[in-house]
Amino acid sequence: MSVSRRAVLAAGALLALPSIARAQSFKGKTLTVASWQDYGADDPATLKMFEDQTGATVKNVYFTSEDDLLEMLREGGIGKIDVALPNLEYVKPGAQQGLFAPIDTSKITSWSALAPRFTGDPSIRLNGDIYAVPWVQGATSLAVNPSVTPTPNSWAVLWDPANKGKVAFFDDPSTAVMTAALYLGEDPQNPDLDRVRKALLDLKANVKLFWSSGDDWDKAYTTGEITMGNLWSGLAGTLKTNGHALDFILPADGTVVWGDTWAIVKNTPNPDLAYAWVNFLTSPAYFTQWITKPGPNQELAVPVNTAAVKALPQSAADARLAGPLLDYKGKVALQTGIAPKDLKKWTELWEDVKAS
Amino acid sequence: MVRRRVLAALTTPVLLLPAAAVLALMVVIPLAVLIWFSFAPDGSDGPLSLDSYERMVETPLYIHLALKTLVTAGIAALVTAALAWSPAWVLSRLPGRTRNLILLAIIIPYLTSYLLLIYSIFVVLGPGSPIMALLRLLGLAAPGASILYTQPATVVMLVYENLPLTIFVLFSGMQRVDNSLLAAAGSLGAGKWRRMRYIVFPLAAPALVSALIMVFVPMGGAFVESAILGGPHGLLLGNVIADQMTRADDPSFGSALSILLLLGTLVLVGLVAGIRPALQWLGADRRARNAPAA
Repeated sequence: MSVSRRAVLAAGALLALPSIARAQSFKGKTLTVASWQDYGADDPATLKMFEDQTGATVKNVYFTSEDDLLEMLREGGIGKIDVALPNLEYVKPGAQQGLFAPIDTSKITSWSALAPRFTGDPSIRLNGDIYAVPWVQGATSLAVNPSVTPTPNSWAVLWDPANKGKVAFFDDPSTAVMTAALYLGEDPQNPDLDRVRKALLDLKANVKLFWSSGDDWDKAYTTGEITMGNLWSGLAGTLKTNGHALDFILPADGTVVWGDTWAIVKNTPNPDLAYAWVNFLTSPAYFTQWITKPGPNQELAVPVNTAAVKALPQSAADARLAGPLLDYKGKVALQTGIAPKDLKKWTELWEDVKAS
Repeated sequence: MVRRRVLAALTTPVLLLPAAAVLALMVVIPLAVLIWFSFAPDGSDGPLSLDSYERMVETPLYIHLALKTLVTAGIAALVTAALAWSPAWVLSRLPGRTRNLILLAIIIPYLTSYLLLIYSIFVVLGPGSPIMALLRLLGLAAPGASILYTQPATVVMLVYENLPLTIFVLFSGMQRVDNSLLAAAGSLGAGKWRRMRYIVFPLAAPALVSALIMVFVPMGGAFVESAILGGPHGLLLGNVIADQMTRADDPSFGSALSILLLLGTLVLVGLVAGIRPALQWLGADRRARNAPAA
């Protein structure tokens, strides 16, 4: 009896050992994290959680654009920066330039819980290796005033001449081209650009506002200047939370989705600590802590980790429309996988449409 | 003696040196960089080519947009000058103390950040504003209508921003119009309009030309006003240039468009500045021709 109790205690101690050992082994180490400012990776309360768990210290360095991140790594960041937060679109270019290390997904605790539309995407892969762990996502989908009846279920509503002067559209080349491609039934990654150009010019006749910030949208929507458009899921959730009537729709013809990911930088001085960081940042505990406390930019974050979405308080999940996005089974145009020369063409096309 | 003359001869160049240095640093070098960029589509260390200019003339799109931009700026400048004319004249005839108070009031919007002015105009032109309510009452606007996100909204903003400066420039030109000239003309039977047309207008014309040029040039390069108020159909060349420099990451095409805008502006400014000398020359010519007959 006493023996078995001792055995149980020993087994318990043995089980507890790795975490204690880990906490001690990272003591005095510093993890350098490259991210956007005020975007989850530098939230003081969550940083404290990580530092308490591991004993390590976190140092934040900031980039101001995705190109800036890659340049930062090329120009001396390798060997100094441990983990970085590239947009899905920039994972492959970074891997091709030899800036990121391949990821051993068996060491990523939440890997199997991550949404398959991300973990299965070719843009995080290069030569059979995986180079990023998808972190948060958001949709740029159809938003309409409930006064618009019947509730539309297709992007076609934005092209309807009846809605002339009532449409807001996001001023961004890849969103514009992909949305037009979904409307036309074209492959959003590789559409017929002449058809897209024509469709966007037709759309422009209906557009009242090309928006580039949530503030642009809010002002025009709340004064009744516009009644529909495409909108980030996070902003739609915020508008709804603030009491504005709004329907956010993931249309039958498909929706546009962006994603941000964590990559481990090549030659990181602290590989184990880097894995600990990625595991922590993708964990339900982290998201619940970050998202449910007021702070900047967290309205944009919908965890890619499905378990983390389920662990969120219902109000927080509703506010960012996390459930509908998670359950959406329609066509998804992931904003990634566009070759730089194609993206340049898309950008020129969009500039032409705007200048017309 | 000689030394003093040498010193005197050197004074002017030495005094001009700081200005020349500033001009070189702030005008000549950036302009040279702009021209260089426009010929280097693959980055500043890439080979030179005409690609950016080819793209510019490939479709009539950008030339059209440049013309639209210059016409918009021209209209805005003329409207500004027309609105500024009578307040400037009245001010120039007022006694000192009252005049200074009014000038102070006029200068207030000019001292306010133009971004703040844009957002305040945004509220004023919005569908719920008193101005739109008044227009609705008069039956001139449909319920819920506003001119926000249209080209006229941009023009209203450009006029509003530049009105104080224009009043100031016209005012300083009109101040020099001697009251005795007006009195003399009046005693010979010239009415208000004739005096304005034949005395005030010619004397204030140089100030008018300076005012027009001073406001037209920044209006031609405006982009914040049109980005916030102009809507998708009211974008100006400045918006496309700003996009090329930032999000589209194509400084070469942006530079080529800037040069297009610069040339267009120069031509128009040259025309406006040339009107007076041309008219004078024509007038002198006519007088010369008329002289023998008289």
